[in-house]
Amino acid sequence: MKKIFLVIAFLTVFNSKTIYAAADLPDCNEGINRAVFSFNMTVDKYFFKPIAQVYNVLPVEIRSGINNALLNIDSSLSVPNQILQGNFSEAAISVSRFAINSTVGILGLFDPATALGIEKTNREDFGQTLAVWGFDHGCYAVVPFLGPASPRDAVGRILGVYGDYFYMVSAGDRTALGENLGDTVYWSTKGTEITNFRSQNIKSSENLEKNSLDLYSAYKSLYLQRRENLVKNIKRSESQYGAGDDEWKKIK
Amino acid sequence: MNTFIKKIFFFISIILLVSSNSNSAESNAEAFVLKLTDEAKIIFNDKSLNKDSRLKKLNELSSKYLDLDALAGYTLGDYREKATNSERENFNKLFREYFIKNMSSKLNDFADQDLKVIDSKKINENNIIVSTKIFSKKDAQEIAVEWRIFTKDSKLLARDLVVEGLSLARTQKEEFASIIASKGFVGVISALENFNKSN
Repeated sequence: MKKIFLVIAFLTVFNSKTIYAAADLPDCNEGINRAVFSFNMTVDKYFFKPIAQVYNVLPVEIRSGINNALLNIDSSLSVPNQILQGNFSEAAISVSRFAINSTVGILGLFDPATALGIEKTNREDFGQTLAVWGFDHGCYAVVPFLGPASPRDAVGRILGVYGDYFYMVSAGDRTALGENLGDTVYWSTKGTEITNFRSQNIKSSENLEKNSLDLYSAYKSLYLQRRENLVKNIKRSESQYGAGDDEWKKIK
Repeated sequence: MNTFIKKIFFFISIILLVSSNSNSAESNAEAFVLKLTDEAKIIFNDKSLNKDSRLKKLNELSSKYLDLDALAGYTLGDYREKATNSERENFNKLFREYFIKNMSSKLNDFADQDLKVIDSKKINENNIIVSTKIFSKKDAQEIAVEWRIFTKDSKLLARDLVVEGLSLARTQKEEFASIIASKGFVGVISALENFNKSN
């Protein structure tokens, strides 16, 4: 089943003749992408959004604790990427944060590491690592259920599954302290992650739906900007306002 | 020797003057953002205002604090150079109405939240970026918002809002570019007219 999913994912994202050819994010299969986008919006309307709305009924302290725990788990994915990008000091900080928050912070529900002055590092994934290594986005794609993607980030997501320590000790066959957490823990964590993310964006997505003149393009732009920002966190020498500034210079 | 010392003092004074002017420009931009948000909050929290009165007040606020013609020009992207004067005039008028109605709905959710200036940075001769944070007690969220402040004839005007690294101006520009690519400039005008009529 996993192999079939991987093949489908690869076929979806590599269905393009201009992969890695362009500096920006060309929309090679816009017709298909728009159709998948509409499908995803319908799924969101009837499935993800209602669940997120119910989740938002939980007291803020509980949601905050869950968010901390999810960030803590997610940080285990940042470590290999920080190493692959040569950010060894950040990797060391992430490991120490993970150790402190997983133990003193009760499985990451609390964030004593920040209170101790160990600040959060930048979140890194394999898509960002590929970007740092010089791979271009390729063509923009909208993946059913998963949303906006690019070939580079889709490959990053797939690599992320197999380079993720949490995956290995839950859905994978490795153990942590002699125990494998099992598939249920992995998939319920992923489900909570999606719900948590969606619950944090209910207002902004409603605003976007209400005010956008072309919702598909707005989502595409936001995805591209977010990914650019994540990559720029790594390349600290780049100006945060570089790309936008050139266009503003033309305005009197 | 005396002349040499005088020259050194002169250069130090110039450097201090330039640096103090630059710091003062940044402080002014920070004060400008606080004033703008305070005035916006008053409008959004005034429950006695009906929809039309609120839009009228927001229009006045926009004229005072925002560079909407520049923002309109930016969002047109490459088409900016191709548009005729009458097309630009019509577009600017429709864009202003669209922007104010859009902002009225977007910012309403932030009206009861606290804004704190974190710092500011002059990125070139005319542009200062003011970094702020909006705190939402209800959602226990902290939202980073950066304001692009432009100096025009020694007057400060806001040109863009960057929310959590996402530029509202750039998002709008890419929306318009997509409509222009599929339906032409007339498609943008028609989309703006439809939005303004139905909101």
